[in-house]
Amino acid sequence: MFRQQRPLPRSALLLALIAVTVFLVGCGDIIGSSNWPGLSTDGEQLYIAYGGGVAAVDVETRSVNWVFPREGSPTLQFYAPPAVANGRLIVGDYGASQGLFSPNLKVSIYALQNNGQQFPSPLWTADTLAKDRIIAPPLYVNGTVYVGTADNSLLALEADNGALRWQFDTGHSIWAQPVYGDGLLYVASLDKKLYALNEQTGTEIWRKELTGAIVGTPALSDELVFIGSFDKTLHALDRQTGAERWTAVANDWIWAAPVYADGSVYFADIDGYVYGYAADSGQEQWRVTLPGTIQATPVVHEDLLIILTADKESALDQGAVIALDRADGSIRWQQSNREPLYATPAVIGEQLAVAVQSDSAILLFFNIADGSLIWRLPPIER
Amino acid sequence: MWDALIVNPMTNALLLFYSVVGNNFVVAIAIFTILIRLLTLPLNLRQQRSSLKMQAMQPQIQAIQKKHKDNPAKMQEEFRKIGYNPAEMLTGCLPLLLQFPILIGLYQAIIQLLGSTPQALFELTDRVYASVANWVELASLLPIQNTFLWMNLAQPDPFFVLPVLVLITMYAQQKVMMPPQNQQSQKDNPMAGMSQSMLYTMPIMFGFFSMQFPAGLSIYFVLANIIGIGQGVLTLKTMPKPGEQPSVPVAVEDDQEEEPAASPAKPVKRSAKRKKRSAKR
Repeated sequence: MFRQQRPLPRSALLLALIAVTVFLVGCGDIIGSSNWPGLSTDGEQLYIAYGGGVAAVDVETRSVNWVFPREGSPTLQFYAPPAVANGRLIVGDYGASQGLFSPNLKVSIYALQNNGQQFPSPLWTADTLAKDRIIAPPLYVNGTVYVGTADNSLLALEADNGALRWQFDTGHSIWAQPVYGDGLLYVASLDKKLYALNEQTGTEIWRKELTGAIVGTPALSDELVFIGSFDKTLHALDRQTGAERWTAVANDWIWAAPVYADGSVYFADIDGYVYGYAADSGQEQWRVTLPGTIQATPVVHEDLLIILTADKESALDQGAVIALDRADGSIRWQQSNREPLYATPAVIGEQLAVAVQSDSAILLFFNIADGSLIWRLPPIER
Repeated sequence: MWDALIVNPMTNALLLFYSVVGNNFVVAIAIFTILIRLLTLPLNLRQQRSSLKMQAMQPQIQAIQKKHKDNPAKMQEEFRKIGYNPAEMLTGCLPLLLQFPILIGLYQAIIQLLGSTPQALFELTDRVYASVANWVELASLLPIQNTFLWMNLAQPDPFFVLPVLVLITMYAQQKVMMPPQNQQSQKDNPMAGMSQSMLYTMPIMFGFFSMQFPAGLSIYFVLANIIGIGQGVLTLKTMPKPGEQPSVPVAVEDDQEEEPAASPAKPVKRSAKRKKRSAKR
């Protein structure tokens, strides 16, 4: 009797250990690749990068036109929404595992001919340049594609063939889409620095070191570049020299990118505060506080500033879409949502597209004038 | 519950160490490993001593089992007399069981801290205690420096150096921890057989999985194994040598054919023979 019982604990432990390690390995991919959806639009279709593909959504017919790639892969993930310009779509993936015996990710950048409602035609794929996942949306300017990678590099690729024109290395991952203005590229990195680079050569023109990481895309006015950081401060820098013109102290980290419109700059912090500042003088115009945190970049549409919130401690609705009046920050309309909202929304026509992570819907479409829900897109199946 | 009890304390501890040692995540993992090893040291020592004791008692246990296979009550009584408690096996395995939550928690803490995705980094703000965030000045501390030598600590080692180190150190640790035994005892003793199979399967398994784990976790394995080797050597040195070991009283009246053919546990054999001689007298 005891003879039979004795070996059991050890073998059970061995089995349990195997189960745990298998669980860990399994979870590695799940934990590492889960993220918020990314949205972009060319005004005709809405593109959503989420999970294993990039889908083109037709807002008129309320249907999905296509999903790229045609054949899904359990290890392939997308987060960064595509850059859409000049009849092309440029998108980078999160990297695909190359099998149990290879620890390296295969990270690919795809250039596709945008065929509208039809499936896009592949133009080229660059799958050896990026060594780590692509989180930042690519930027397409003047025949060149700029892609920031999680392996700390900004890659400049020929839009026609994907050839590498130049590469600029920073001290940490690049999660923010670069911004172009007057021959300069502004690149924010998690290494707490904002870089201004020559667009043609990748040569560094200036850099500004802050005391917190930068995850949001810079915003440009005619003379200034605005950048928010974990240092709880919005920095307004001279576009040509990087000299600091003024700063605005927030209540908490600034995760969402600032937005500039009509002489004002708007930004939000993760404590739920939203701020409106005069862009030139740095004078505060208004501030409001909303429940929850704000991670999604605000969106300007005419006289509205659209804010998405996430309040995971709320027992009922954990997210909200709130339209503020750009003049004074007063609430014009708001819509609650069961799930917290993290992904930056997109405006297409008169509709506001909001990505959600729920079992019943992947996208919600609101009438941007009054906030009424127009329709919802269920999770996309291939 | 899991996050609050396991992952978050680990995340905060790692963050504190990282801050104290000047923003070096590998050193933070090393301190964490030493701390965990110190905390589990009493259990580990107990497990190793218990394992050695069990090994020494195997011939007697087998003899009792054979003799009283049809009388479980008597068998238990005899076990009690020689000081053998099958339940002790389970408490002896406690350190190994304790490794599970530590491994899973540390895995999640590393993934969370290295923040390789925006969602992971964003959720980190919920996990860090306010006092820790203030003390370490979290905003200036993040992101964690995720590179060490040629490795990204959030990704597997691309040159397989760490998986090989995990394999070698784990094998060495298992070897040190395993009580010495000869082939015959392995044949007679299923526990020894299991230990022997674990000696090879565990290192191979962990070496293989280290090819998929973040390098930071593999570094924890290597450091924990090295400390385990040192601890094992120390325990063996402080344990009484076989000749010095006090004899375990054996109540069973054994005869020649019931005695195991060859056992390294000399004190036990001597004790059994003494009993046999006194019985003849």
